[in-house]
Amino acid sequence: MKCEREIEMNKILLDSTISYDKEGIYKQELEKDTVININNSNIKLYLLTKESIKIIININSEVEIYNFTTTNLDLTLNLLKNAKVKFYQMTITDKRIKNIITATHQYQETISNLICNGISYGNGNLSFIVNGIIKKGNINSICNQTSRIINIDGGKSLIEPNLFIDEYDSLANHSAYTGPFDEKTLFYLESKGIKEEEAFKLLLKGLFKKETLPKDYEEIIDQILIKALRR
Amino acid sequence: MFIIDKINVKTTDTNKKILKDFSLTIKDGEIHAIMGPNGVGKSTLSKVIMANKDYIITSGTITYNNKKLNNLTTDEIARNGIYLIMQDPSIIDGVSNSECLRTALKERDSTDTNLYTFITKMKTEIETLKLPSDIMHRSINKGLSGGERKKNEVLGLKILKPSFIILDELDSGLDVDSLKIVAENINNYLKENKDTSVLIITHYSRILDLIKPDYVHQMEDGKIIKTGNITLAKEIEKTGYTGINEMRKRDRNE
Repeated sequence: MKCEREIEMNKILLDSTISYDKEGIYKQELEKDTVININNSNIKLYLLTKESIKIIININSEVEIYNFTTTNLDLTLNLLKNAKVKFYQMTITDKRIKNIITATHQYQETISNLICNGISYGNGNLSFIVNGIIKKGNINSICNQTSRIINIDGGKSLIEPNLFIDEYDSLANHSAYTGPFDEKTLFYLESKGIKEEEAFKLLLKGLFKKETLPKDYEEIIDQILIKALRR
Repeated sequence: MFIIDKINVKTTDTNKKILKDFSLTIKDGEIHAIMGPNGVGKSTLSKVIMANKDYIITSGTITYNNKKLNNLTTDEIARNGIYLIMQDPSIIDGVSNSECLRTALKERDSTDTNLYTFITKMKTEIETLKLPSDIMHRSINKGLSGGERKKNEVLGLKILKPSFIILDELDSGLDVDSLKIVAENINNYLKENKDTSVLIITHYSRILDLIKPDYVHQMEDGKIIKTGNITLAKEIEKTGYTGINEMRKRDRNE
């Protein structure tokens, strides 16, 4: 099934394979296991995954992918020839869930940057299992991952940054943080006269808005954030 | 008037005493400078005034315009007109300058600031401070040099219009040209707001050549040990903190 450009969220009811062949901005809601093929550069893909599903994304070009979820997720990025991917995972939960994100470099000179941000609130227990795999022979590949989970009022979290590198001539980095917001950052905002609660809201929203998101996509995230902030 | 009356301060985690019977009075419109070597409690003082949770006032009072600040939170103190330019301003990814300053204004006035007025004011001040034109929409201090971060803090000052300014090591990270621009902007602000008081915390006297203090205090071991005018700053610059202390001991013995 092909997606129209700049459309409202489409529900995938029957098809489990989607191909993107033209450059553009796409938004896609997913409710079942899906394979996505990205065959052109200058594609920005905004995903919204609603169920505990498995997604495989085959990439042949330079692409930015965003995914927002509140549930379990198993997502694999297959970096094929000429693949350069920036992947942003955004998760908010008050449940015990696991997000497994894997970047598999299957060609030389491929680049993956995985940025995973999460909020675990209430009785939440969020795990990010982030895997970077560079197979032998895929020289000059770069595999980076940055993960961050903010815990709010009792929320728990775990990050497992895994780098499986079988090629010397490659580069891999990771950073991970779980815990509350930095006191220094809160102090900075409060010293401008912003109440602690408001400062907290700004930081929570900011966690996901480091990148410019489409308005309707941002609204969906905001609705979930408001729920988390009401606690 | 800003009055610190014999405060004793310790750190929250280690109970280490940092400020000892520290007193200071700053009248409206006055500029005071506190000088001292590393570790005497200068930067701590700025954080204590702003109710940083790392420190506890065990005795004494801080009052501003007859209002006791001891039991106020950081944001309440700021909304009373006190503005701190930190030595090392935070970088906050995801929160833009305009979001931060508009929220701060909203908290002060309880009404949403007119967007057009806000943007116009921001644009004018950004130009005056020679900051990148897109800084309004950028994450707070992200991708800025040390000097630009200090300028960005001055931008906040000009938008929020405080009546008491604390400059903690303003000159650190600033090159000569940037320091001049920053000092010029603060001086212009003081000209327009004559009742505004300033507390400058510094190691060096060079900043005091640009923002001229009425009083200079030398700090040591958690308290003020000497007060004078700009001449004291020059003496310290010439002889160093060790030198000036030895001269004082010699004077006492004679």
